[in-house]
Amino acid sequence: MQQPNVSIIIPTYNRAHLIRETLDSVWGQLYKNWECIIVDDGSTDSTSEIVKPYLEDLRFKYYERPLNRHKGANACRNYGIEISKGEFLQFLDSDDILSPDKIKHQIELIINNGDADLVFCQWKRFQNDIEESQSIVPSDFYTNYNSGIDFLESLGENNSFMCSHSYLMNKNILNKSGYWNEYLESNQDGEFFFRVLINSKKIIFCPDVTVFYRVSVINSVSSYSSAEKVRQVIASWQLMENQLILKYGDKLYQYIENGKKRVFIDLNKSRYLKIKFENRDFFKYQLIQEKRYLKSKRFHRRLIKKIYNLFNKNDSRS
Amino acid sequence: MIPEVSVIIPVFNRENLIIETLKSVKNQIFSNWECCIVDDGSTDNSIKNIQSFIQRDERFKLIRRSLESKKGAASCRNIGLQNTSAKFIQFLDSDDIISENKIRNQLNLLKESDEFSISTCVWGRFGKGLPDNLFLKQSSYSNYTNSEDFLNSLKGSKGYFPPHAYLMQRKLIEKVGPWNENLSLNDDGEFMMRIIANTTEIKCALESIAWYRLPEKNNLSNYGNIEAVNSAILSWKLVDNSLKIRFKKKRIEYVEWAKGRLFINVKKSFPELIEFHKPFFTEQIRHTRRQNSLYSRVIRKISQKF
Repeated sequence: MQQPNVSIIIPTYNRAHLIRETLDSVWGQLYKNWECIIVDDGSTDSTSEIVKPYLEDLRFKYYERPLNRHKGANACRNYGIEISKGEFLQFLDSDDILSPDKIKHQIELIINNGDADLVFCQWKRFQNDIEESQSIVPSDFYTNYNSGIDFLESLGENNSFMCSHSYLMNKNILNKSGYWNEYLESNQDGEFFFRVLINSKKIIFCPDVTVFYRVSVINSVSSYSSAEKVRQVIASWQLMENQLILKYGDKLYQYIENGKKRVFIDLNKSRYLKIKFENRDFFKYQLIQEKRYLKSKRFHRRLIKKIYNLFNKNDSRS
Repeated sequence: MIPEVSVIIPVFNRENLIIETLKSVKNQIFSNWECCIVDDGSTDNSIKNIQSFIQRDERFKLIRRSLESKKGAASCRNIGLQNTSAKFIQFLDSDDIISENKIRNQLNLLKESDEFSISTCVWGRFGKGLPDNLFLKQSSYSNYTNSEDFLNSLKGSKGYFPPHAYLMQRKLIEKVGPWNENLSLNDDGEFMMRIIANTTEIKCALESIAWYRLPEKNNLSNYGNIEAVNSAILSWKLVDNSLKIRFKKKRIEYVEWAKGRLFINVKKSFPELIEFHKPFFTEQIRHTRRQNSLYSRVIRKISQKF
């Protein structure tokens, strides 16, 4: 069997307490022909000491983000891409985990389907122990797709999203999609894989293997810590929506609407809820829904008040 | 010798003009380039003329767009990118001209700065039997380390540089992604804005010139097809979204300015599209309304006097 090289790219920042588990899951891969490029975004903890023993295996490579690059995970990933030598790319975050057979089975599938652009597998989320992980994506979603837009529409129908380490991608797609957007601070993987997907023709589901996505107990840094960040997330969803409109026509895309809905809900919880009125057109359906909800809430309140008054009157009469 | 610069030229039915363009490539002082001409399915004598010009010079190659690839200049440029390998990229249209020192001067500037820098140069318009119109003093003819300053300088300098005024590194193009093949108008503007958003430094070659040939037909004829005009509006939406992500701003000054020009063109050609994209043109609609009301007030006053 051919053994193409796979580049595993891991950006990291102050994850000394978690990265060991991630690197172990790379080291334990049954498929052996890989290189693992760890790009440090300027960690101030003991990350470099934790990583050191792994470097004895020369497949592991550890770099600092070059100083002339923008700060952030995406610039680290891009640097990793630039120096990678593999035909295939596996992106992995420094707290996530791959099952040992993940790359092996996915590579087998790619070799048997010579023209596949992208292979993916199921993902489960966990907090501390992957034994207690759970899937939140309906199993109907996990099947093969003949185009990225079908994949996205199906994600939309199932009200789901994917995580980036579930994919194994042919490096050639980057020639069509471009690299990670270095200036985007949240929804980074959503925006990048959106571009990868709409440029992919054959997307294959790989059964039997799993990736694990760590959710922190304390909700990690909120994406809405400033008004600029909110506006940036909105712009990223607008960018995706406009790309779909340009390519597939002006209609409603459930995947985008779901994304908008999540932003809208987060926005309502944040201090910047006024921003939704700046983007009235973008949040059209969300605002209509909200109005309907508030109206029915008001109606209920009035109804309850009337009933209450009725009883009170009866009470006072008696 | 491995070429250092790839010149990429899409061509469609330019039998009379392409040779002048190719000559300006052949005359470059810097000689270690490769030039890839991508034919978009010409039906005139373009191919014959090109072939007879490029024979005996192996730096040129002519390829034809395969039938599976989308039609259009953007698609041809992407094919050119895939079929060349040099580190630096010069895009050139099949009727435009570059001065003979252009590649050398810009290459020297880029070699001394980082890999994501780009270079601009002086430019002008020619053709249509009009005297050459070189834009000599433009505020944009300067070096920039801040893309936003560069964009704002464009407002006072014709609004843009034509794509062949730039020289850039392939590495930067790989990062931002190729030309968008779904756009039929402003594909160059949308591409260059992604480049500008991701560049680290912009250096101007003050002694080199990129000549832009005025189209035979009026530029407005581009605005004759409703789908093309709609795609021009979408291209500016994409630019607006990308620059908002890049600069984390609520409003991009340069885009609002450019939308003003777009608004006028759309209004002349397909005003129904303004209505359709109303929220996008909010500022422009408000502006015309204000202007109109002032104008009408003045007219009313004058007519009252007489």
